[in-house]
Amino acid sequence: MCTSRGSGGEDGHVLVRGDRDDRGGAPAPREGLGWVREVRTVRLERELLASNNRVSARTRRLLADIGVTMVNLIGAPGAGKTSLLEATVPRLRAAGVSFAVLQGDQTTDLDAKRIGRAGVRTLQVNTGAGCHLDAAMVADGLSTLAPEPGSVVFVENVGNLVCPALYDLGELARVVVMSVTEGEDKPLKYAQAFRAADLFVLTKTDLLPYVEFDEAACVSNARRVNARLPVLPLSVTRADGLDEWCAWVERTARRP
Amino acid sequence: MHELSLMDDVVAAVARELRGARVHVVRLVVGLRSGASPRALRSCFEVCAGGTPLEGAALDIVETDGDELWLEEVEVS
Repeated sequence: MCTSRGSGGEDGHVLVRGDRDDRGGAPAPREGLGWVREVRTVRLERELLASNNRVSARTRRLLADIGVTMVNLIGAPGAGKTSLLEATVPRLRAAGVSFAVLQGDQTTDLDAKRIGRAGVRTLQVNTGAGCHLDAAMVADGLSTLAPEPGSVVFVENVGNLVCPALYDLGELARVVVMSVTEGEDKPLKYAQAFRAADLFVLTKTDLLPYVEFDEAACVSNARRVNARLPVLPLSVTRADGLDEWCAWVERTARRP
Repeated sequence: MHELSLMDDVVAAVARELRGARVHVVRLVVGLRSGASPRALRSCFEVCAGGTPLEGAALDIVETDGDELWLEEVEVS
């Protein structure tokens, strides 16, 4: 169906793009329309995400006013986002950093309970059928969470590397989380998520002896889509890299 | 399906800006690297346009290699 847009390689390899359509170009004129009244073209030239981005810009301003740092964590299900936050709790607390967590999931409040057990103020936002958090959901969540001035708010986005990447939530920094079990080509397959990130956290490095994972290739792939992306490998299980992670959070956090 | 919420926004924006006009064509520019799928956008358009001034309009998507995600123009009468 889409093979006409596929490219035939010399090795007979054919790339079929499942998300593209053959019906490119202007649609055929339809009878009965435009005969009576003159058809004119109105240029609109605006981003499709304009309404989301208006809300996120407002959130960013409001948070800046009270010195709150919001960090948006994006990663596939099972990448280790919740475990990373659990391990972050005692360390940031010891460092005197006040923080809260806004949990995005399609359903259930299991993650919020997990983080809540660690004694952190947590709000679960269920997106229902939605595959991502958008700026309005987060703005609503923040008004309930009411983060204290000078604190850090972690947003754990819905487990998904595609849709969340498109939505600015008003965060100060965005972190893409990926585990060593996911394959080193992931930054290329999900380029949008890596391109928009300020930090790449590579989790579960304790599993490196058991999986075929080329860390150097993974980092190189990530830098192909985001040339200056800092990479932070860590293991929550072995507590490797957690001090560096918390140091990054503290550096990123605004001082009140 | 973030395309559904994107398309909802498109329909709302066009209906708001061009109140009273008959909309024939809505033209988007969607880049290969934008994170949105033209195919999914097309399938969402009919659902989102139904019952609005855009019902029956055609959706034209100009596909590029970039990261554009853009509501370019509309043809109205």
